[in-house]
Amino acid sequence: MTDSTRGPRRLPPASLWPVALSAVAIVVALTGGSFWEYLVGLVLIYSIAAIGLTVITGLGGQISLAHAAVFALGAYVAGILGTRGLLPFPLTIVAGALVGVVAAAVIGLVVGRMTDLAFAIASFGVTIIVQRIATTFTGLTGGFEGLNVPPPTWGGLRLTQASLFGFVLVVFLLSCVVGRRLATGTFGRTLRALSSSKVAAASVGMSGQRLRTTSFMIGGSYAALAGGCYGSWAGYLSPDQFGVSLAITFLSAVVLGGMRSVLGTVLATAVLLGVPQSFQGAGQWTLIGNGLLLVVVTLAIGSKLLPQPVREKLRGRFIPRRAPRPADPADVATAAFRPPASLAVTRQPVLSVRDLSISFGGVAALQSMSLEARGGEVLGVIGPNGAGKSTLLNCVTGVYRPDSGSVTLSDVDITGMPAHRVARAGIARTFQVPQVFSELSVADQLVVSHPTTQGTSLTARVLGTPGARRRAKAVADETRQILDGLGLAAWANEAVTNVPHGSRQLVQLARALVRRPQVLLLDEITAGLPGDEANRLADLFGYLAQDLGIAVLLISHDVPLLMRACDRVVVMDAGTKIADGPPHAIRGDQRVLAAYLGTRQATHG
Amino acid sequence: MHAFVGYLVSGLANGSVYGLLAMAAILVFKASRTANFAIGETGTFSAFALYGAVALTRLPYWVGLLVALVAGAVVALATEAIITRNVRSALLVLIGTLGISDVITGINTVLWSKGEPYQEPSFPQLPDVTLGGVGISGQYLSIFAAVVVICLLLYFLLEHTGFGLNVRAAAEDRDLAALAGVNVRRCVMVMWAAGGALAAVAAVLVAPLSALNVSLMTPLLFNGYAAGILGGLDRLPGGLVGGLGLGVAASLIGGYLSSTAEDAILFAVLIVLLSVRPNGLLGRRVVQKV
Amino acid sequence: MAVARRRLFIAALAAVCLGATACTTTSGAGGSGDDTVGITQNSIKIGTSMGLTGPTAAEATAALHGAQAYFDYVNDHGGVNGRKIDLTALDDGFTAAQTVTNVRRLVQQDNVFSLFYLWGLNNTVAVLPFVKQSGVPLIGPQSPTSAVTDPVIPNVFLMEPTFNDEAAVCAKQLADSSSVHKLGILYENDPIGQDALKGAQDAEGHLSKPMAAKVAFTSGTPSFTGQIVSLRQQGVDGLIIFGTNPDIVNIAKGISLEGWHPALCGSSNVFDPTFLSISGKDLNGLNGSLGQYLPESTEPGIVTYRNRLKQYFPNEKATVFGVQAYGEAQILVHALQSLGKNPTRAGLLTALNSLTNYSSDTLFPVSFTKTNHDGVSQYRLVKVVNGQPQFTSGFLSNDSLFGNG
Repeated sequence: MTDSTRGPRRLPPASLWPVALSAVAIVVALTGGSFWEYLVGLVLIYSIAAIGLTVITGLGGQISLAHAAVFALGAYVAGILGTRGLLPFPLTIVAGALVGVVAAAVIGLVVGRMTDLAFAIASFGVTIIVQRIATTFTGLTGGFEGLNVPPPTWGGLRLTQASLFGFVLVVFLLSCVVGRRLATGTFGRTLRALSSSKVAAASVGMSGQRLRTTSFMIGGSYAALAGGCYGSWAGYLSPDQFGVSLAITFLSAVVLGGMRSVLGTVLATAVLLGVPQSFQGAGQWTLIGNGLLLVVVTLAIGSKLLPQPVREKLRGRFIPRRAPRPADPADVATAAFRPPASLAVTRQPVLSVRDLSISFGGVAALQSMSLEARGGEVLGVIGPNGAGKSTLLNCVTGVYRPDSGSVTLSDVDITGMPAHRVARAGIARTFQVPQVFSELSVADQLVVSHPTTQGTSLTARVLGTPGARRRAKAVADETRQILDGLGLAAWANEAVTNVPHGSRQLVQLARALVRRPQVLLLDEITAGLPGDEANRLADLFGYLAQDLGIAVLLISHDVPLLMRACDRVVVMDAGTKIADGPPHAIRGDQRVLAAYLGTRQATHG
Repeated sequence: MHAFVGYLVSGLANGSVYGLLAMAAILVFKASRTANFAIGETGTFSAFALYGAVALTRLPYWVGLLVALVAGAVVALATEAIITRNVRSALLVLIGTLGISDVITGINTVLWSKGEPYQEPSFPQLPDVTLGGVGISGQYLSIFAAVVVICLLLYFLLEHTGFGLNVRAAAEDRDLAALAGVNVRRCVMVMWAAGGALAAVAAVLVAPLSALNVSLMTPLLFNGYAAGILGGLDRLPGGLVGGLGLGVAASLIGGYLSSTAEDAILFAVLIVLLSVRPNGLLGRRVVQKV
Repeated sequence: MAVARRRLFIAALAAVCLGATACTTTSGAGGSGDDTVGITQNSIKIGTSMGLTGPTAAEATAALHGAQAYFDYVNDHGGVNGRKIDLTALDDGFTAAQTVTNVRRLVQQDNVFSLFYLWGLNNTVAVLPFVKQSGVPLIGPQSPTSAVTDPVIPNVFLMEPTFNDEAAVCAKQLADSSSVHKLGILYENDPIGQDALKGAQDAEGHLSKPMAAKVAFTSGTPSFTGQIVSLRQQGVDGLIIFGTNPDIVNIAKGISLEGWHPALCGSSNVFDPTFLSISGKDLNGLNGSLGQYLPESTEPGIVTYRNRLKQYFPNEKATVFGVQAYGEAQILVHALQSLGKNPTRAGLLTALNSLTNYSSDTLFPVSFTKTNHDGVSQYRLVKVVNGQPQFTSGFLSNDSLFGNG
C-alpha cells in the first residue's frame, strides 16, 4: 500500500552490509594470520574492480574485456610512481585512477560506434594492447620480468602490510557505498533503461554515447583504483597478470553476483578467489567446476528455470511485497484520463515538416512530405500500410536522417538532429510496437525519463544532497500524478514486463508526458487496446491539446477514432501527402478512398 | 619480394584458419544473434575425437574425420540446448558459452592431458608446391581449399536451396518465419551444428601442423571472432574476407613493422576500422525497425 | 525509521574505521623468522606450487611425480634422520597470481620449512619479492631464468640451466660451427623467449659470427612460413629457436619444406622423450644442451630413477621434467641430511652454500657458493639423431666454452 502511494523509491536506504562485510574482513584478517590477511586484501581489491564492471556490464549491458587493461594501467602508473618515490602513496593511486579514467573514457567513446559483440572482441584487443605496452617499455615497466613495487610510503613513513590493509578496506567500503548508490539509484536505472532499449532511451532524451562513456569512466575509475592498490598489495607487477583470464575473472564475478548486485559481486569475488584455495585436491576437476558454476548461474538468472521472483531477486531487482497483481488497467479504470494540468505548455508550439524525403536502398519511403502541427490541435495522420507514416515519425524524431527537406519546431531547425536532442527540444513520442525499458518498473520508466532526473548532476545524486533529494521527491510526485491520471497508479511498482501488452501503450504515453512535451507524436497508440478505451483516449487527446496546449500528432488506422479525436487529418500515400483537412472533408475525398481501396492506378493515371 | 611471398603464404594459411572459425561464428550469429565462445574448445575436443578414432581405434581417416565433425556438431548443439535455448539475453549467452568453454577444456584435460602432446593424423595431403621461390606446404593448401570450398558450399546452400531460404528467413525475422511455416527451431539447430562442425574442421586441419594438445585452439578463438567481426557477422563471405584480411595483415605487420607488437598493432587497426565501419567490411548498415 | 537506520549505518561505519585502525596498529604476525618452522618430531614440511591443471598439466605432474618418487623412497627408508619429508603441492593452474597466493599460503598458513621446485618462469619471478622478504628457502625453482640468480638471493638456489644460458650456449655452439656464417634467433613472444633473446644477445660479444636477425613469433600460429623465408633471405644459416614445443615442430617442418638447411639449436625442453617420440623425425639435427642425463638412457642413476618412478607412480613415463625434479629432491634431501638431528633454515642455506660438485642420480654435478646460486656448472651438448637425443660432447662449463672468448 505505502509502496504504491509512495511511487518510485527515493534515495536507497543506507545499507549495512558493506559495513558488515568490512567487519568480517577485519576479523578474518586479524585472527587468521598473515596469509588470510593477504587473501582477504586481495578479495577486497578484486571486488573493487568487479564493482566497477558491474556498472559497465551489469547495468550498462556492455561486455568489456578491457577491464583488466584499465586495472593494469592503474597498477602500473601507481607502481611506477611509487617505485621512483615521486609521489606519496595515496597520490600514486589517485594518479593511476586518473589515467584509468581517461583511458576508460576513450574506450567508452569508441564503443558507442560498435555493436555489442564487436565491442567485446575490440575490448579484448585493448587488453592485448596494454599488455604489449607493458612488455615493450621495459625501462618503465620492467617488461616481462616485471616490476617490484616497494612497500608504500606516506610522509616519510613506510606503511606496514596492516596499515595498507586498512587503506584498502577504506577504499573498498567507499566503493561499496558509492557502487550501491549508483546501482540502485536513478543512474543505475537509467543505464538499465539504455541497455534494454536504445531507441526508447533516445526518445526520452538520453544520450547513449554520453551515458556509456560515463559508465565506462566510473567503472574505469574503480578498476584503476583497485589496480593501484593491487601493485602495493602484491608487491609485484608483470604483464601476464593482466591478461584475458583476469578480465574473465572480473566478468565471472559480475555474472555470479547476479549482474546488478554490488553485494553479489563482492561475494562472488570472494568465492572465485576462495575456491582455488578450498578445492586444492580437486585437480583437473576445478576447471570443470568453475565452468559449470558459470553455466548454472547464467541459467539461473537468464532462463525461466527458476520461478520469476527468485530470478528477479537474484538479478537485484526490487520486488514490492504485495500479493496479487493488479488487474489490467484497461479493464478497471473508468474515470476519464486526466494527467496533471502542470504539464501545460507555456508557448504554443508549431512543428513544421517541409519537403521531407528519404529512401532506403533505392525505394523512396518519403517524397516531399510536408505538414504542420500546432499547439492546441490534434492532428491525425492516416494512410494505407506502407504509406510512410511511421517513417515520417522516425524522420521527425531523429531515428532516421532524412535525405532532404527540413523539420522545425517553433522556428528551431531540428532536421537531422540525433534522437535524444530532438527529444530534449520538446518532442516526445510513443512507438507502434511498444518500446519500454523492460528492466524497470512502470514508475521507473517515468523517473528515468523525467527532465529533472536527467538534469540533476550524478555527483549530487550519489551524495544524496538536499537539492538532489528535493528534486527526486518532485519527480516522484509528478510521476505519481501522471500515473494516476492515466489509471496506472496500481501498477507503479510492478515490473513493466508484467503489464499486459495493450496497456503498455499507456505506459509509453505516460513516459512521453513526463517529458513535458510541446509536441506529442503517437504511433498507433490504440493498437491492442479495447474499443471503449479508444473513446477515453480520444477525450484525453482533446484535453492535452486544448487545455494543455500540446501539439498532438496521431498516427492511426482507426478511422472512427481519428474522426472523433482529430481537429484535422492528413492523408498519406506512397510517401507523400495526398489530402489535408477537417475530418468530415477527408471522409468524402475521392483520392483517400482510392488509396484505401487500392485503386491508386485509376486515380493517378 | 621473396620474403613478401613468405608473409603472404603465412598470412593466407593463418587467415584461412581464422576464416573457418569466423564462418562458424557467423553461422551462430545468424541463427541466434549471439556468440558461441566455446567454438575454440569445441574444435579441440573434435581434434581429440579424430585422434581417438584414427590413432587409437585404427579407423580409417575418413571415418575419423566424420567422427570429429559429428563430435563438433554435437557439442555445439549441446551448447545451444543448454545455454542459448534457455537464456534470452545475448550478454548472458556469451558468458554462458565461456562457462561451457571451461567445461570442455576441463573434459579435454581430464581425458587427454596425460601423455600430451599427440601426433594428429593428417588430412590426405595435397602436394607441396613452390611459388616465387617459397615452398608452400600441401597442408596449407588443404586449409585454404577447405575454407574456399566450405564458403562456396554454404553460400550455395543458403542462397540457392529451399532450406537455405528458410534459414535466411529465420535469421532475418524469427517470428515472421515461424508464421510462414518455417521450422525455426530446426533451422537454428542446423546452423549451430554446422558451426560446431566448422570449428572441428579448423581444428583437425591445424593440429597436424604442430602437435595436438589441450590448448590447441585457445590462441585462435579470439582471432577467429575478430575476423568474423572485421568481415561482418551478417554475411557469410565476411568470414572469408575477414579471415584472410586479418591473417595477411597480421603477417605483414609482424614482418615489416614489429614482430613483438604484432598483435597489439593488429588490434589497434581493427578497433579503428570497426569505429569507422561498425558492421564490418562487408556488413550492411542495419536500418532500425521501430 | 529511515533516520534510525542512517544513524546505525554511521555508527557501524565508525566502528569499522576503528577496527581498520586497530588493524593498522597490530602488525601481522607472519610465519617467517622462525628458523625451525615446519620441523616436527617426525616430519619436515616442504611445499611447492605448480601448474597441475591448465596448459602445462602433463609436464608439471610428471615433474611432481619425479620428486615425490624420491621423497617416497627416502620416507620408506627411514626418512631424513628419522623425519619424513612431507611435500605439500598446491595447484596454481600456471597463473602467476595464483602462485603468489599459494606460496603465501604455504609459508604463512601451512608453515612449511622450505619451498621446493616452483613451476614456471613467470610464476617464480612473481613470488621472488615475497620469498626474499620472508626469508623462506626456495630450493630449485623450475624457473630457468637469470632473474632468479642474478643478483644472488641468499635463500634461493637454482639447479637447472637458465634459458638465458641455454641460448648463449646455442649461440656459441652455432657460431663455432664452420658451416655457419650468420646467426639468427626466432623466439616466442613470451617471458621464456625474451629470456633466451637476452642470453643470445649477451653472448653476441663472444661470438665470431654476427647475429643477423631477431624475430619473435606468437604461439599457436598455424603457419610460420613468413618468418622462415625472411630469416633465410637475411642470410641466416645458424638458427636459434626458443618456444613452446608444438610450435618448434611446426617451425622445423616449415624450415625443411623450404629446402633450407640451417644449423638449428633449441631449448632443452625439446629433448623430452614423449615429445620426441611423436616429433623426433622432424627435429633431426637440432642441437641443444642439457644439465641432466637423458631420461631413457642406461646411466645407472637414471635406471634407479626409472625403477623408483615405476615403484611409486607406475603410470608415469620418464621425462626430462621428472629427471630434473627427482635430482633436485635428492639434493635437498642430501643437504637436509647433513644438518643432523636439528635442522634449521639457516643451516640448510649454509649446507647448500658449501655444496661442491654434488652428483645426484640424474643431474650433472651441482655446486653453490655464497656468491653463486646458479648451481649448474656443467652441461653437455646434445643433438637429435634419428629422432633420438644424443650427447655430442663431454662435460663442458661456461669457462671452457666462453672462457677464452
